[in-house]
Amino acid sequence: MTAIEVKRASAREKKKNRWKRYFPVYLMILPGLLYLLINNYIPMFGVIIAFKKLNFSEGIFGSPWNGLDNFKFLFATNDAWVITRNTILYNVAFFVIGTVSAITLAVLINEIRSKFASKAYQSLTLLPFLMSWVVVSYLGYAFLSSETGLINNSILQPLGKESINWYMDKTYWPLILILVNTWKGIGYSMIIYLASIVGINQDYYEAATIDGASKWKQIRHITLPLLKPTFITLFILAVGQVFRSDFGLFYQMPQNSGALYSVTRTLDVYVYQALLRNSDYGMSSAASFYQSIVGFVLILAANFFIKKYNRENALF
Amino acid sequence: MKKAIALVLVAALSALTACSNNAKDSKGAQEGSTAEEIPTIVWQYPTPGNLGSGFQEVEDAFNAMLEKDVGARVKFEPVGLSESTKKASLAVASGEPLDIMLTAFTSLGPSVDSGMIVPLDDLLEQQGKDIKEQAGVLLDGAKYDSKTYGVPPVYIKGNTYGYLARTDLLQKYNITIDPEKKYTMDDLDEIFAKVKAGEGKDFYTTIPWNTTQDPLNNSYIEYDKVTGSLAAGVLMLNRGFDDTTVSNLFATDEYATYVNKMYDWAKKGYISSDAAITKQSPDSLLATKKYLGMFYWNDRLSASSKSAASGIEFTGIPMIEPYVSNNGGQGIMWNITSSSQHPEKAMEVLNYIYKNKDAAWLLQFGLEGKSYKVLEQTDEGTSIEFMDPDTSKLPYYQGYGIYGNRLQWPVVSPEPINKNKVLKEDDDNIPQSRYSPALGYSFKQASVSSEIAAVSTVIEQYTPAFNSGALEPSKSLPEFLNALKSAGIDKIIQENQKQLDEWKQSNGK
Repeated sequence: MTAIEVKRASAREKKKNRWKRYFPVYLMILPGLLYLLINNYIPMFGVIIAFKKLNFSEGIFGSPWNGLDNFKFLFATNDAWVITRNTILYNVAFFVIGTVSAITLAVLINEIRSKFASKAYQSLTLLPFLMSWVVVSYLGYAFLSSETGLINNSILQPLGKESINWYMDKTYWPLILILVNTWKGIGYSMIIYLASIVGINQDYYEAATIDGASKWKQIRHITLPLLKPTFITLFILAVGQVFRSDFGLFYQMPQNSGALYSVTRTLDVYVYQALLRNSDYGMSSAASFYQSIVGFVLILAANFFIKKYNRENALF
Repeated sequence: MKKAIALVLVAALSALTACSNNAKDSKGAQEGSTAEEIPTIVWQYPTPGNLGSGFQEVEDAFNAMLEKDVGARVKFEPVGLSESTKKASLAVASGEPLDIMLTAFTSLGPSVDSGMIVPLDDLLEQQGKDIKEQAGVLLDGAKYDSKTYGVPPVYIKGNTYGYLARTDLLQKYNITIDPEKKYTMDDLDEIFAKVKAGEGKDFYTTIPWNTTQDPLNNSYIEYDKVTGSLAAGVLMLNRGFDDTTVSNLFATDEYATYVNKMYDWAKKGYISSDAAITKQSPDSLLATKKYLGMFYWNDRLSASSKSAASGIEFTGIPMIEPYVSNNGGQGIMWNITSSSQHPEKAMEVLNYIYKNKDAAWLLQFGLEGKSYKVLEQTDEGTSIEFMDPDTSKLPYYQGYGIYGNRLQWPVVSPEPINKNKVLKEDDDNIPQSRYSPALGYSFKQASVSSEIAAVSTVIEQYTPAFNSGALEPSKSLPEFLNALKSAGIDKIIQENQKQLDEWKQSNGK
């Protein structure tokens, strides 16, 4: 036996050993993998429906191909630009405003000494997150309705100002949507940041206190920098969602008012409206395929920039 | 230890797969045995939500009749009226059993193009003789590409529309309605002005229907939606019943006049400013007593039946002379799915509710003595009364009039017992000169389906706001028309016109 052969054999032996050693671990992955495969990967074959003229009697594979015809309706109107713009801009605004307010709130709640008060604030801010959009939309309606709404009847009129027909006037809606979304989502993202803050080693703060750093300085130079990994992970996740939108927010909240479409319609809402009447699976698949592709490209792009900036925090 | 865990996992996994295998086997066996005896026909059952405690009882009673006379059973599949097509497409795509589905107020095109439903001509010939005999020309409305795909409930052919106004308010302001006259928007304007001036703020004279895109809920002018949708143009029958030019309704002068009027009405406070977005049904709005009335179907008896149903006294204000158009077959009809294992039996079951009017009554009104009682029975018809005036408290109540031949149904008191005869007479009196020239024509939409999807969204965006006068027409109407144009409405109308001309030629009209 030459030295090389011995080496090879031992390498083989090692591999075999490792396989043996980790076999139970692999086995434990199995159910999870199966789940992913069945739930997330196998349905992907359905993407071919986007390129077919689906006929039930011939089945998915038997239906004739029709190229990019299913995608045409997305770009048939100037709406394509409007809805793409709305979807992206709203998501950017939601992320920036949502993150800033969530981190601020998390830092503030972390500073509260009374355990009861801190838990109470957490629960109160989380409460809207647990509400259904339909309920929220009617809360909104109670404020904004032009006949019976609180704002028109109890604020604007007593002040001698003219009533506003909120659901017909699109000027205010970008603001309303951002406000409502932040109000509803802040509790949830606050908890994620709060969890990371609690996990920061107290030694840093002790050292800083001994060095005479003020609370503000501690927050700026310890808390915020150490939140960066959490922030980046959430950022990448948000980027992946940039082409999806919260259907409840954009459809329920404006009460599906046509006059507001140019500022409230996002891709999801548009697809829903377009296909509500004629349930065409081809066009629906085409639209969600378009969403996925753009979302994928955006994730790659975001990861690329993060990698350039900080290799450690990149996802891959 | 590790080995033990691995074993447990393997055991769990194999147990799982074994379970699913077993389930499959037992299901297969079950299906096999019932198929040999009597087939079960799965039939969509439209409902707004609550089925009532007597639903099963009615289904059982119907099955007892069917087993004896047809040799089949049915299983009703409750579904929302507006989502019946979507639910059916899911069932057909996923292989869930479904035999008879409902098409309600949408065109047949997508269901036919996607192979979801089968043509019924042969089945009607063999198993559907009573349907053919009773429905007659109504079956023309269920045609697509010259084949019949649907079975409609039998009723009158004519369209008659108008405005239903609360009688107490008309009396209060000394307004008399001439039932022979056809009222225009300007005539109504005068009535509205009087009532509004007397009732003041927070009172409105009309409810725009958010579920329909048609101006004044069809009461404005006569037109034939030859494809079943405004997206593909209409025949402007108000200009003449022999004209077969397909027009874009929204670009007509008539429509411009209409939207200006609505804007004017909204400004005068005749229409609530939340009207375009309200989710409340017209009936529940009327019950608030803050409304004078609404634009509505208005045959000779509809005001009295609406009064009977709602407990509010109404007077019908006629606006449109009765006319016949098939609106692209848009309406309610039953279809047989392509996944049905027993299409012949399904047709036999459908035919049964036309052949045996007791079966239709059972499905429509429930069991006698439990849901309704018979008040009077004469040669002209049967008069019944619900056991409880609040229909939501009945053990069984089907709010949609969909089963069998409606002209053979009993009438609900206090409607006149000869209602069906009166309606039929009026219907037969509509002169041929008020029949749409496109009866029997159907539009094949496959080549422009993406344009239709785009145009429909534009229409949905603008019409609720126009119908409630919430948009300023001078600015928004041109915007709307531009949006329609860029979504491709001209291409659809052109295609529609081409097909209509070909159909006319081949039918020698």
